[in-house]
Order: sequence, then C-alpha cells, then structure tokens
Amino acid sequence: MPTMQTRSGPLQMTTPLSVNPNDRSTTSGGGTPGQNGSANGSASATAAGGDVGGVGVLDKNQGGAEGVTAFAECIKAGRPFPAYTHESLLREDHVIHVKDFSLYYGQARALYDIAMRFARGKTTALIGPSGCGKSTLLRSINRLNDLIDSVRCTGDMTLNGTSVYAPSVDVIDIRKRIGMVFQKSNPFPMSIFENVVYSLRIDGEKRKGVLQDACERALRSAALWDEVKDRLKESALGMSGGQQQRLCIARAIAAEPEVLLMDEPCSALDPIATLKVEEFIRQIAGRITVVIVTHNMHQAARVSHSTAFMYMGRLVEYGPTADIFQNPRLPETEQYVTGRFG
Amino acid sequence: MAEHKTNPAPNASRRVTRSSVRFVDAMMKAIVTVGGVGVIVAVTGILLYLAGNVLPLLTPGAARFERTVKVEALAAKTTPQGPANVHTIEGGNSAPLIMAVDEYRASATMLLRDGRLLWTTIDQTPVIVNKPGVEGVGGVGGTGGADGGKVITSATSISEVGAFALGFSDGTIQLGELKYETEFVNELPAAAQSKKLARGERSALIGEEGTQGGWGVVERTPLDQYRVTKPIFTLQNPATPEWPEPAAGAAAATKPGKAVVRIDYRNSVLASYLLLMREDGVAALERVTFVRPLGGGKPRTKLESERVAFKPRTDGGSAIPDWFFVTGDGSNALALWKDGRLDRYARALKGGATSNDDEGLIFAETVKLVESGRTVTAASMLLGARTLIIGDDRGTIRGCFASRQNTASTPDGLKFVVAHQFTSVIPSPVTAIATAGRDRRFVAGHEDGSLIARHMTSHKVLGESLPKDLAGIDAKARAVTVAAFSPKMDGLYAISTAGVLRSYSLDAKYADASLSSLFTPVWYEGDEGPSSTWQSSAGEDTAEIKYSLTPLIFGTLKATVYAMLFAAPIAILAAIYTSELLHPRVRNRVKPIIETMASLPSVVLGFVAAMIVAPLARDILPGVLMGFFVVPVTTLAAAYLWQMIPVRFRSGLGSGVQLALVSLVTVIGLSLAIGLSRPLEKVLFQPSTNDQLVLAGAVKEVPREQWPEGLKAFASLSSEIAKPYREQGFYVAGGKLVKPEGLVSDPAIAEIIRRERLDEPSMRRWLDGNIGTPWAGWFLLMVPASFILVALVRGRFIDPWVLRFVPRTGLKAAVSELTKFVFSLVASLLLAYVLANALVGMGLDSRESIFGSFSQRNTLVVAIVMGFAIIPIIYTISEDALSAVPGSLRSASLGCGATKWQTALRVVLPIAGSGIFSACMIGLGRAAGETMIVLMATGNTPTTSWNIFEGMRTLAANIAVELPEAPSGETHYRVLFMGGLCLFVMTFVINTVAEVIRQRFRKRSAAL
Ligand SMILES: Nc1ncnc2c1ncn2[C@@H]1O[C@H](COP(=O)(O)OP(=O)(O)O)[C@@H](O)[C@H]1O
Ligand SMILES: [Mg+2]
Repeated sequence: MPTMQTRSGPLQMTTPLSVNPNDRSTTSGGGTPGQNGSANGSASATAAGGDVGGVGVLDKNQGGAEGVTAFAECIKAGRPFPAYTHESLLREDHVIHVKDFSLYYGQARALYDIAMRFARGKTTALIGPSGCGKSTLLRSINRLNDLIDSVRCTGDMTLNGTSVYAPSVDVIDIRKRIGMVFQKSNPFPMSIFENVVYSLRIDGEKRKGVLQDACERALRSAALWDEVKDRLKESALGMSGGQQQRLCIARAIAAEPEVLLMDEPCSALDPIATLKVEEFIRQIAGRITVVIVTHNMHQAARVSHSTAFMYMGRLVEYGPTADIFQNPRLPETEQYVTGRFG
Repeated sequence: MAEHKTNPAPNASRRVTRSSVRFVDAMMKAIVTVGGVGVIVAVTGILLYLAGNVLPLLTPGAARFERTVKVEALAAKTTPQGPANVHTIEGGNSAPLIMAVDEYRASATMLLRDGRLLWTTIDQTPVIVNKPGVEGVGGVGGTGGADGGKVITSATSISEVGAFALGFSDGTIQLGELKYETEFVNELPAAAQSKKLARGERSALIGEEGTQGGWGVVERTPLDQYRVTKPIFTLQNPATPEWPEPAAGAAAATKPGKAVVRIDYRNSVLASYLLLMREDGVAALERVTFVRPLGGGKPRTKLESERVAFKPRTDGGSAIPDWFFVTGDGSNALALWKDGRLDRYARALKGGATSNDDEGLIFAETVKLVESGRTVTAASMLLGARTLIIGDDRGTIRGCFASRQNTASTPDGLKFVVAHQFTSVIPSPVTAIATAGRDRRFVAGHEDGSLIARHMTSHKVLGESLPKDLAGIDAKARAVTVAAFSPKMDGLYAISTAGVLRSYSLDAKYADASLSSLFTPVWYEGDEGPSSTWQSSAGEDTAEIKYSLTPLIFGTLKATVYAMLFAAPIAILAAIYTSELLHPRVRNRVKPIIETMASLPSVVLGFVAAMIVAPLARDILPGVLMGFFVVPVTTLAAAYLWQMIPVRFRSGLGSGVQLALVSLVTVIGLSLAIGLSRPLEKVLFQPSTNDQLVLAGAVKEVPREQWPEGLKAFASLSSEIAKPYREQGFYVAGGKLVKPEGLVSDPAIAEIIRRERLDEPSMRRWLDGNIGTPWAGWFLLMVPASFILVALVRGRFIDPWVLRFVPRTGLKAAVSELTKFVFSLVASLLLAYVLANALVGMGLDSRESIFGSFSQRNTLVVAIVMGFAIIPIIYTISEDALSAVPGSLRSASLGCGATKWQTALRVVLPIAGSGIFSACMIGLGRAAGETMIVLMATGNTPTTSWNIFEGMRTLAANIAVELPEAPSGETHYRVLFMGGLCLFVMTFVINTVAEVIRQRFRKRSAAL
C-alpha cells in the first residue's frame, strides 16, 4: 500500500522547510521515511495510531519553553505540526484515512502533513479560522482540487483502504462514492427532479421508476419532499435559498454515497433552514460518514461526533466533540473554542 | 451641500463632490450620448440611403396628358368594320399606316393609306401639312385605285430603326425609311425669319409645297442656337419578290391574285428579312440586301427568296391569316388568325430527323392562344421580334413566344406558349399595340380610348391614360387606331378613330424591374418555364435583361450554410475542448493563436482559396471527400482504443501529451483519407466498359425507331434526359442517342483510352455524369445518415441490453464499446448500401443533390476557406460564453462523479447555449457579408442548385463585381442597391431572431 505519494517531485526540494532535529517528527506507520517533507530520517513510531501524529500523548517538547508552545514554534518555523489526536478516535473503524497529506497552491503551502482518520458512519466537524485550509482538505478528499491549475500535493489518502491519489485511480469513480455540498448552493439550471437524479443520470440510469424512487428518497432525507413534491418539474432556480441548499444536499446523497462532504452548508441559511440541515445530518448519522466544515461552534457541538481543529494549514487537535469543547488538551484549541483567539 | 445643514449627522464629516468630478461626469455623459445617438443615426442613415436608392425601382411610372391635336384627315370616313391594325387594311379605314414622332417630340409624320404624307406639329396650334409620299399609288384598299394605279395593300414599320415596308396590289413591294434629321444652326432659318423666338420656344418651318426639306420645327436652345428637326422620308425602288410555286390545293381555298396582302419586315445588323403573303395564299421569306449601283443613284433592293410552306386554313376561318409575322432571326413565321389560332412555321433543326436545309420554313405546330369565344383584336412583335403580343376583345394582353421544351414534337424542339398575361380592369377590346424601340415595353390602346403602357418582363404599369383625357373626343370614336412611343420612349401617342392625336409625356421610372420580377420566377423569352435568373448584361441590345435577386440570395445562403456546416462544429467543439477539457495553461496559449486567425485579411484567404485550396481540392478531391468520413471515424476509433489503455498509464499523461495524441490521430486520419481515396475511387467511380467506349467515341447512333419508349416523346436529347436509360446501354453523345460499339481491346480504342486515361476511376468524370451510376453518390450521402440512425438504435435498444452482461467500467467495458463501435460501423455501411440501392431503384440521381457537375472553384472550397475566416469568431465568443459559466456548477457536477465531458454537455453547454448561439449568428452574419473569399474562390455563377461542387454568386460578390459597371442611377445600379438592402435585411433578420432566441435562453439561466 503506497502510503505516501509524491505528486510533484521537484517541489519537495524547493519548499523551504527548516527541520529541527529536536522536533518530534510526524510519523508514518509503515511509511517511507525520508519522503516525508519533515521527517528527516527520524521515523519514530508512536503508540498504536502508527501514522497519526501525537496520539493522546503530550510530548515534553510540545509543552515548549517559557510559555511558547510547540505549535507556535512550528508556525514560526513553517514546519508541520504533529497533531494531538485523542486516543479514543484511534480505535474507531475508519473510512477515510489521511496520511501526511500536504497541499500547495503554487508556491504557497495550504496543508501541512495532515494525518487523520474519519470514522465510519460518524460525523466529523472541521473547525478553525478562515483560511486555515478546511475547505482545501475537504476538496482534497474527492480530488476536486485537481481542477485548480497550480495545485500539487504530497502524501496520500485512502477511501476504504484504497488509495485516492494513486495514479491508477479513476478519479471519477472516487467522486461517485463521495457526495459534496458546497458553501454556496449551486443547483443546476434544470428542473428540481433532474437536479436530484443528476448523479444517476450520468451513470446512464434511464428507468423512470428507479429515478423517481431515488428522487423521493433523497428529497425526503433532505426534508424537502413535502415542499416540492408538486413542482418537481419546475426549475430549481425558483426555490428559496434554504430550499436550494437542501436540494443540493438531496442531489449529493441521491446516489447513496459512502461519504458526504459539507463545506459550511449553513453559512448562508436562516436559523430555521439551518435547523433542518442539522436535523438531516443527525438522521443520516450511522449510514453515511459526514465531514462538515463549520464556523459555528454550537453547530459543531450539536451535530458532530468528533471535531478537528485546524489552524494555518495544520491539524492541531482532533478528538471527540465533547472533549474538544469541554476538555481540550492544547492551549490553542482551548483559546479557539472559548473564542479568545482565531 | 450647504443647504443640508439643517439636518446634520452628529459625527459625519461632510463629504463634497468636487466640481471637476461633476464636470467630467457631465462631459462623459454628453460624449457617450452623442456617440450612441450617432451610431443609431449612422445605421438608420445607411438603411435610409439604401432604401432611398431602391424605392424609385418600386414606384410605378406615370403618363402625363399633354394635349390633343385634331387631324381632320385621319378621321374615319366610315365606321370601321373592325379593329384597325397596320397589318390589316380592311375597307376604308383612315388610320395612318406608319407614324413617327421626332426625338424632341415636336412633330409627328404619318404615311396615309393613299400614299400621302401627313406632317403635324404637336402643340397648341398645330400646323398640319399633307403632301404626296409614295409615287404611283392610286387609291385606298380594294382592288385598285380610281386612276388605275397600284394600291397599298399592306404595310409594316420597325420603329427602332425608322424603316418600313409596303406591299402593293401589283405584287411589288417597296422599302423605305421615315426618320428625322436634326441640325443646329446659329441663324434662324429663312422660313421662320418673321418670328422672334424666345429661348425654348418652337416654331414650325414650312417650305414650299412638295419640297422635301421644307418642313420642320425650329427651337431656340438655351445656348441661343437654333435646332431644326425635319422628317426625312426616303423610298427604295419598288422590287418584285420571287414567289415560290403555290402549294397544291392552296388556290382552291384562296382567291387568286397577286396583291401582297401581308408583309412583315425585320431589319437587324446581321440580316434583314421580309415575310410576304400573296392574296392567293403563297408565302415567301425574303432575305433583303441593298445593292448600291455603280455610278451612284438609289440603292436597289435585292431579294433572295426562301420558301415558306404555308398552308391556307381550310377549317372555316379566313384562308389567309389576319397577321403574319417573322421573328427577328428569320427562323420562324407566325400566322395568326383572329380566333387565336397560330400556325408556326419554323426552320427545322439542322441534322434533325425530318429536316432538309433547302426546305425553308416548314410547318411546325398549331396552337390556340386565346380561349374559344374570344377574338384576337391586335397583335405586334416586341423588341427583338421573338415575343408576340396579342390583345383580345376583352382587353387581355398576352405575351407569347416559342420556348424550349424537351418534350416538344416540333421539328425545332420548340413550343409556342403564352408566357405572360395581363388582364385589364376595363374589358374594352384592344385595338392597337405599339412596341418601343429601346426596351421591352409596349403600349396597348383600347376601344374606349384608354392607353396602358407596360413592361413585358417586369409586368410593371409604366403609364396610363385617364378618362378625362378623352373629354373632347366623340364618345363613339375614341377607339385607338394607332399608338406610338417617341424615340426616347419619353412620350406616348395615340390616334383615335375621330382623328384626334393625343400626346402624353411618359415617365416610366425603372421599367425593367419590379418587386415581382426581382423576387418571383419570371418566364423569360425562350425559356422552358418561369425561372429566377440573374443576367444583368447581354450581348445584344434586344436580349432580355434578367434581374432576379433570388439566385443571389440563394447563393448567399448556400455559401453561408456550407461555410457554417464546416465551421460551426469545429469552432464549437474547439471551444468546448479548450475551455472544458484542456489544461488551463495550454488553453492560455491555444486561444490567442486561434484568435490571430481572425486577423487574416479575407483577400489573403480568398487568394489562398483560389490559388492553393481550389487546385489542391481538385487534385485530391476524393481524398478531401473521404476526410469528412475517415477523420471522425479514426478519431472515434482512437477514443475507443484509448479507453482500453489501463488507467494507470492514461492518467499519468498530461493534457499536453493528450493534445499531441489527438493531433497525431487527426494527422493519421487525414493521411488515411488520402491513402484510402484511391481504393475508394476504384470502388465507387470506376468507369464501366461501356462508359469507356462512349468516352473514347466508339459508338453507333441508335435510329429513332429503336429508341426506348420513354425517350420517343423528346425532340432533342440531352444526357440529363437519357440518364435513366444508361443501364440499358443508351448514351447521349453530340445530341444523338448512341450505343457503345467496339471492344476496349481494339488497339485504336485502347490507344485512346490509354492516352485519355479513360480506364482510370475518376470522381470528377462521375460528378459530371459521364461515368458510373448514381449509386456511389447515394452511398456516400447515406453513410453519415445511417451512422446516426444506427447510433440512435444502439443507444436505445442495444446499450441497455449489453449493460446487463458487461460492467460499466474497466477493460471489459472498453472492449465491448469498441466491439459495438465496429459493429455499428459495419451496420451503417450495410444500411447505406441498402438505402443507396433503394434510392437508385426509385430512379433518383444523386448528381442532382449536393453532388453535381464539378467546377474547380466551387462551394466546397468556399466552405473550407470561409470556414477558416469565421472559425475564430465563433470560437472566441463561444469560448467566452463557456468560460462565463460559474465554476461552482462545474464543481457540483464533477463532485457528483460526472466526467468533464458529461459536465460540459449536461451542465455547461445548456447554460452557455445562448452565448454559443450568438457566436454562430455573428459568424453567420460575417459569412453572409463576406465578399473577397467568395469573389475569388467561386466562379460567381448565379445558379440555384445545392451542388457543393459548383460555385455560386452571393449578393455581396455580385455588388462588388457589377457596381463599377452599372451606370449610376440606372435600373441595374438600383437593383444592385436592392441586393445590398436584401443583404442588410437578411443580416438584420438573422440578428434579430438570434437576439430573441438568446434572450429566451438567457432568461432560463438568469438566476445563476
Ligand atoms: N484556488 C486557490 N488558489 C490559491 N490559494 C488558495 C486557493 N484556495 C484557497 N487558497 C488558499 O489556501 C488557504 C486555505 O484556504 P481554504 O481552504 O479555503 O480555507 P478555509 O476554508 O479554512 O477558510 C488560504 O490561505 C487560501 O488563501
Ligand atoms: Mg472555506
């Protein structure tokens, strides 16, 4: 299993990475040391997580000296940060496994050796200040970042154990298994019905019955069925903002994906619509693995099982939602969730 | 603003707009307004200018009544028995035989039936003089003069040259001229010395009685010269024609006698003809030459006679025709009776089955020109003397001529037809018809005195008399006995039975074009039927000018459609490719390159088209044609093969490599097309042994008795007609039906075949219809159609079925796709084969479709080169439209697992559709107005066939070619403007429709 892929060889050389030998390097279980941008040959395995950095153990170095945290030092030095991952998460069965994933927009690095797992059937919230790379990480999972001209990445992810970034992978296949909801609702200029069954149509499904069933199921899940069942043939563009976003959700789950990626799905919605979306997320929990980016701490607390806090392209702390909000291990996390920083 | 102090915001710092900003704002507003209004004014101005130049074409002409002149000598002494005509002199009708008006419309001269000349000024106080004209004429009509002298028994005149011919009771004829002579003098002539003329004033000049030069009109010109216009009446010596022996039985039907009762005269630069008929029914066609005796003196009229096998009528009507005409080229004699029967005598086709050169004019056909119950009351020949104009007793006028008809059984293959019909509002019998000397207009005078001048081709009414013009004339004697145009056709004259000469000034405007003649088919002289033809200039003055804009509009559409068929798919697909599939970095380099193509001057493209593409396309014609089939197929095949490459290798290749691969495939496709063209030519366009023999000239003529039944009806054969019989071995060569004879192995024939390379397959010979059957063309045409059909069937029935056994992705799927592709290819070829056979079986010829005879500068070349001119435009605008589609929709679609192509097709294209549509419309507009390329790359032949191997003439090219030669302000000039206006309207309509459709599209995606 190739755990780490160099998407762009030369870049590794050109990316200035100051490596501090004292620093605990991120580790990659069974990985290839040396390929890691920051490994510098010190592939010391930690705990059971293997490839997940900082598993439940607070290294002495992380405490830093004279009040300067290890995290702040990493930022200052432009180095990746080995995230603090709560141990309880490591025991879970995972669907997506992010392995030391880094991403560059041209010369600018947007993700620094992210290593984390998304548990099957659970909802994971990604929080963090704007520009910290949440959307980038989300788009990396279904490889939508490929569309951006200058993007290069290193590291790998797996979906159900198969690599997402291996050259032999059919991107289209990956995307068929992952649904995505965007921050801004983007229904197609077609009828409501056609919007919902889009994924099935592109798979060549022509049977009317199958399409209608899928449409109804998806719309019911998205709590939209009752509102639109009489006007399925009308244009989707005539709906209200909240309805449009729920339509996009219905579209994303119509083909029954394993994973649903949601990038701030409620940021443009009114409170009632937001509630409906949250209700939806709670309902599908168990069936679909959800990764949701949100700025709303309460929302994260309400809908997610686990929460990951990201900051400046690094994963800082990743743990069960209750722990992150009530008992964060790192001072940065605490500052962020209590609103004192970020 | 200071006034707002009353309501100050506590913390707001007061912001003031600087006056300079206000000034710039106001100024820019003014400039933009002026500019915008200016553009609108300019466009409207152009439209108005065009319309202003075109409008006079559509306005009817007008005749303005000037005055009446009462000429007592012309008043009927007795009530006329029937309608009067110069050709028929019945009883004591007093109408003049010949009438001529001078160029300045100052006076009229007439030859009366008693041989005297009558001259009158046409003004308020007419001066009328009467003097002897033709010597030795005794009396009027009947059997002889009171003094025993000869009598004028028939007369005719040719208004355009001022010549006339008279036939006498003693069997002689006499030719003469009645003309005017104008001279400018500085001194007032002696005869008018007593007068003091103001500028522009006229006065009659009367010399002594009997002196030729004594009459005339003098006018003081604005330059204080005196212009003297005098009639000149000259007569040749009388001549005695040679008469052929009367036909057997003719004498029984006619009364004996030698008086020349019918005469018709044609005088042209090439030859002059006299057609004569004697009282006893003997007719002769005389070729007239003038011999000037040595030593001076009057020229002698020399007549060479030719037989006219005239058969007097025996079915109850008068034996002798009421009118007897010869056509301008002396090839036809027309005998017309009052009941509308016309017997045509014609020179038989040379080499025809029944002809013999010595026979002269033989009987060709009898036709009935009017419905029974109607009577022909007047007849005359139009300018050029090919069209006969007849008027009947209900005021209807018909224009008739001998027209080319394939099925005509006449010896010359022509058929006399009524091609034009003008029904009159007032059903008053037509009593006189006069034609003009310079164009195809004619005037009809009716029994009630009304006059209508019309143009034969355009059917336009050029001028009409009003009832009030007749106020001073006795109501019972208003019938027009003689009508005439002035030499410049700016005046119109009519003499009524009461002896009153009416004069009109005629402003005919633009007689030879009307809306209907410009846009609807017109039956042009001699043609098989109504047609739309553009022929703005002709070799002879008498030929009919054909202004039909339809072929030009058609040509414009043809060029545009073919260019769009070539350019639009390429440009749109290229736009989709670069914006949706190509890596942005590569796109940023490709786009500007394509856009620079737009800056190529069209004259350069035209030059390239004419000098490089046209000869190249001619030389590798089958290859070019093959390209349209082979390139798409190779590309498709390559795509299917590509699918079979494991994803592992594929996805590693950047889009630059992919682009290179696609280019490689295209090049392979093109070379395959060239390479396959030879074998294809061999399969499709191989001449049969018969074809080779016929082309080599090894044929023998098939006698008429052995002709296939279907061909027997035809008088003359063309390859077109005989094509269906080629299967049976019948060919047409040199207008004859032939069968190949001989062996290709015969050394002489083999030598010809080898030298002319007749045994080699040739698409051009096939296109020209010389070899092969229509099958090949149908097959080629049916291949794409069948492919689409097969693909539809496959998508609907086969694909879902196959999916049950084969997975959607993976190598297996790829193999199944490729197999399906190969099978559909084979299936469509088979289907095309079957369809082509069916079409051939139905007797349809593919060489009358988009295939047809080949000319080097053809529409294919234009389509390709003009395509290159419009591809950049369509591409750029389409690309912009595609790029403008929000990326969020693309992400949404791709996020759903759609491929880029699915995304492009299902999401991006529908949204960008309006933009792509406008792109096409703008390209269409550019193609419609394109001039240089079509001008240089086509033969500019104004045809109306969709044949892609033939040229066309577009409106724009036509204007470019002909405007320099069209005299400003003339009909031709204005018709060209009309063409410009049509182009303007066409593009306007295209753009408006495009805009409307675009707005609709846009509304749909407005909410994005
Ligand atoms: N298309 C892009 N091109 C270049 N830089 C980008 C692009 N998208 C995001 N970035 C940069 O990557 C970083 C992370 O962005 P993003 O993932 O959108 O943050 P978040 O979603 O957490 O607000 C930001 O600094 C942003 O400027
Ligand atoms: Mg974001």
